[in-house]
Amino acid sequence: MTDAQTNKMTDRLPIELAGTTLQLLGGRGVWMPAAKTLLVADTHLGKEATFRRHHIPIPTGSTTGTLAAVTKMLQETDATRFIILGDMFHARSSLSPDVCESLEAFFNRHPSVEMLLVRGNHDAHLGQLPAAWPIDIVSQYAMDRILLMHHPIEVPSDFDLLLCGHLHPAIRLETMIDKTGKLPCFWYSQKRLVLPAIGEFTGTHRIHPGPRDRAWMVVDGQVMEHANTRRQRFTRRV
Amino acid sequence: MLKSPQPSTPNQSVERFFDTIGFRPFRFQRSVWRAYRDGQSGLVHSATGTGKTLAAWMGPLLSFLEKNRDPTKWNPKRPPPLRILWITPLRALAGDTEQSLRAPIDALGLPWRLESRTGDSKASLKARQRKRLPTALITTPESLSLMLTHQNMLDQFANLEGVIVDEWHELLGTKRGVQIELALARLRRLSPHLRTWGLSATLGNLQQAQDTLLGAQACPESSRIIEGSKDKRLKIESVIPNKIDRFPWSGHIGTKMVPQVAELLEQSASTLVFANTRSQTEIWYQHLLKHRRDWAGQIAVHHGSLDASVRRWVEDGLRAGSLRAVVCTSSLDLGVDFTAVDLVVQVGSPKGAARLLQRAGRSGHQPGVASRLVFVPTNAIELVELAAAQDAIRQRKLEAREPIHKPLDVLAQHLVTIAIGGGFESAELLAEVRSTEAYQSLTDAEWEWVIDFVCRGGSSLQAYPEFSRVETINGRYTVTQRRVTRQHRMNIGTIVSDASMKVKYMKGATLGTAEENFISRLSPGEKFLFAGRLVEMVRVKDNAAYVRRATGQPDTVPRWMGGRMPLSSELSDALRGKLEEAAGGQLVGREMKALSGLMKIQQRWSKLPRRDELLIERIKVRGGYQLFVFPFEGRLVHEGLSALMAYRMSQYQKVTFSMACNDYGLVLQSPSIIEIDAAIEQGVFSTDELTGDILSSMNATEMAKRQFRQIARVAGLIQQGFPGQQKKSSHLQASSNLLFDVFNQYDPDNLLLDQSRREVLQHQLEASRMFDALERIGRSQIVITDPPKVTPLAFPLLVDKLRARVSSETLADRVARMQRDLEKAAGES
Repeated sequence: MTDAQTNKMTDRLPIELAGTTLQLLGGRGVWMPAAKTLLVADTHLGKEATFRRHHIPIPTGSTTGTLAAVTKMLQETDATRFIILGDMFHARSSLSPDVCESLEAFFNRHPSVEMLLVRGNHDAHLGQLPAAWPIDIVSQYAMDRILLMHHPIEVPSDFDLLLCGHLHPAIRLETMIDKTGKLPCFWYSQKRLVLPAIGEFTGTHRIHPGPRDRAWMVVDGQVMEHANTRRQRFTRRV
Repeated sequence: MLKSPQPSTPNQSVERFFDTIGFRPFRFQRSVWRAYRDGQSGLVHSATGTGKTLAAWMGPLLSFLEKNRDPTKWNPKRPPPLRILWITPLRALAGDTEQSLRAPIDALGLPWRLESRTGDSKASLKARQRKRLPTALITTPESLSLMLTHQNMLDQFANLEGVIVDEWHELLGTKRGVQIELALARLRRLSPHLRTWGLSATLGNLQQAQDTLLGAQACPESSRIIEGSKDKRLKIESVIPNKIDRFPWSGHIGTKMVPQVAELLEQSASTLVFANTRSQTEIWYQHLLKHRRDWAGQIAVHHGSLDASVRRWVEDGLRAGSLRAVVCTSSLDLGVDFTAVDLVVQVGSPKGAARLLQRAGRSGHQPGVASRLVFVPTNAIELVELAAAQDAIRQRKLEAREPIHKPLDVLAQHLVTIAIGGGFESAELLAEVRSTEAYQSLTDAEWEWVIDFVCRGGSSLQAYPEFSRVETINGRYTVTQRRVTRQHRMNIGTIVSDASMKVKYMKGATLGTAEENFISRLSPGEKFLFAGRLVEMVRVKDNAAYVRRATGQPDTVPRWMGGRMPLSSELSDALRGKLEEAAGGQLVGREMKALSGLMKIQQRWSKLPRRDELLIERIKVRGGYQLFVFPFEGRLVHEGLSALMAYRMSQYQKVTFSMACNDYGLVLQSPSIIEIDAAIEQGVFSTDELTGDILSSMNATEMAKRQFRQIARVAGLIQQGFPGQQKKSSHLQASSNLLFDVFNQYDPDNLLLDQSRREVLQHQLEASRMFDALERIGRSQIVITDPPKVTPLAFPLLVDKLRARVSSETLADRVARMQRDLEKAAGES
């Protein structure tokens, strides 16, 4: 067994896609060391507030929980830039006073981090965010030959890699005698890397990686490549 | 047609009506009328087809006749205001019920107006009824609750004289039953002299069934339990396969027996073939049709997922006697009299003696005619079950239906209902709620919590900013926001429907609904059986699956989720008795004699357990070790036991167990050897610290999480979509699993979480039955065998896929192990 074939779990897994080194983080983010940039997708902040506004009693807490997970990754990576790949807020009614308060505390904690939101479908009807918030909104963002978007579109020819969200991907691990629940995952397929949703109060969507795809599961804050997609890769190479 | 009736006493009029339909009133029917006249309430129980409907219905009619003796004063243009509510569990039954209730009204020329109000009723009719209800109204539990949200209807209930709850046994022991209890408490407040009558099949706990219906404050002197006519003759026989294989036969569906069943259908006029699952009805229908192609158009399939129009066509055919046979599920268990049906075929275990009795009663559905049931086993052991069921029926050991104890989700929904329908004061409504059997012992703290839940979202210590549903204005709880009212009315009820999709032809006709889960796994071109036809998937669009007719072989049959009934404890006990007889070499009856070969193999390879023995079989298989345990206590108890055993054993070794259960026993499988002797020594079957260990094992298997689904829906945390309807508010969708996790983390004291644990304990695991089972095991001798092959008793357990899991490994360790297995498997291939 070669070195490349040992498949250990780690909270920071370096991979190379389209000539770029990325690190997949156990906190469900992607760290781009060269650009000192941290990426996450689908935070759905304030989703519980939206439910409450619509008379469905969901307790507070998941928004601060999600932000705490981001803070932890920002601190561990010492990132200078933070990008959300869409669906930062769940709905317009998500911007409740308690959610805004948590978010402002988050901004204040990271004064030197540049923040960017690549707009997602849930952000479409947000209207103007408070001017004082240190965050820019764009519909897409290019970093050399890497494109950042919310939706997993077909990758335009002038790009080598698309980083996106929207799908909330998850897989199930199944052997002859055991089967797990849905595990959130990073999914690489047709030059697209789909990030798992980081929001605590978000669901997942089960995906079935194709023969040429790769998938990395997030389990208890650790990242690990799915054995089947690894196997396919190695057998193809041999 | 209204003829002016000649003056006669009310009783004479009724006698004349019975003359016209060719019967004489039964003694029990007269008893019910008398009791009703005397202002009493009660319960009428008997098999179906013995005249319960008329027993309950003539009382109110007689009461009117007595108070309005002069027919010249009757004016059909001015029907009397609402007097009677008739509650039916299925809205599909409303039409038939209306017909049979109308017959005597017309025959007596009463000036009554009789109408239905269900989810199917036209909006114009409902609007008219809001202003003025008919003299007698047929409705469902959900529609009744909905009426309570309309303040202007409440005044009309003040004149209500009687409520009749049909098929009460179907509602008892369900949250719909509790919903009725609460609605009845409300009606009794609006009309204090209300008489309540329930119609029920015979149950093991009739007194409790009556108490639950009549409420905690009913006085025993004014209530009666009346038994319907007893002279229903019953013939039960079974189809025994010509050759019983060494193993309980494969396929598990018993379709081998199709030729024999076809022969039976040939010999009878009209037959209901009951199967236990919707998938089985589809399979049986296809096999029957393949066997007798000339029966196309003469046989049909009927189950709850078919489109209403399809079902109606089948029911009409049955009523007219034009169908030779219908393969159905419990969807045809209730109501509707199909007088032409002269034979019932039961495929697979009916799971309880009472149920078997009731199904048999679907044939010979006329007073005085014998009921005939033929049992078709789907595996050999089921023959033992049937033998046991016959014993139980002979000894009248029928099952009880346990009522549900203070579910807070239903109460929360009811509070919003009452708050919309005019509002309430806390103390007053609490007294009313406590007058029900279900909430008799509701504590002040629980009441406060539910009030907090509907007003503030959760306990006042917990933050639910910007939430509102019910508000207080001058100490009165009410709803002022129209959106809350609309949302609540759309979601009233306690039935949880699975996320489902319509199945349609390309041209637009709807066949029925299938679970989203099933549809999403189909690719275009795949063929499956649906509504008795072979169809091919074309595409999924707008929340509907479009299909076209196909030929050839099906690739799959839809699987609908849905509760499978466990074997009742009465039947479990009888089953253990039968096996003990067999162990002693005593094979009584055709069924048991047919099994002698199988019993011998079981004896030779392992053992036939006596009543005072617990049999455990150990087998090594590819990929792990299997442990079969046979308590014969019913599936639910086995589910709890397997989780408990797995949890306790995983405490002394890091391991993951997969489990499966059926009504006879359970199987545990693990990648490493299971040290059962040591485990027994360490108290794997002990009753010490049982509740704590059950709770822990429950968390391990996420049972409480699954149970939370219904609670979340009833308490209004999940907005129920209707099948086929586009989800309008997609931003308000969250799975109950996700909700459970969020509550667990951020409001762990939420009483709804507590309720889901309690429901798992009481209903899912039947903890008290489990305790009894462990006590019994404690007194039993444990026999461990190492059979050379999978034994006849163990075989049916292998057919069910291993599902539940208990693990003491961390998820990360477990995933790492599974990854190694996958890589190893890849290396081998």
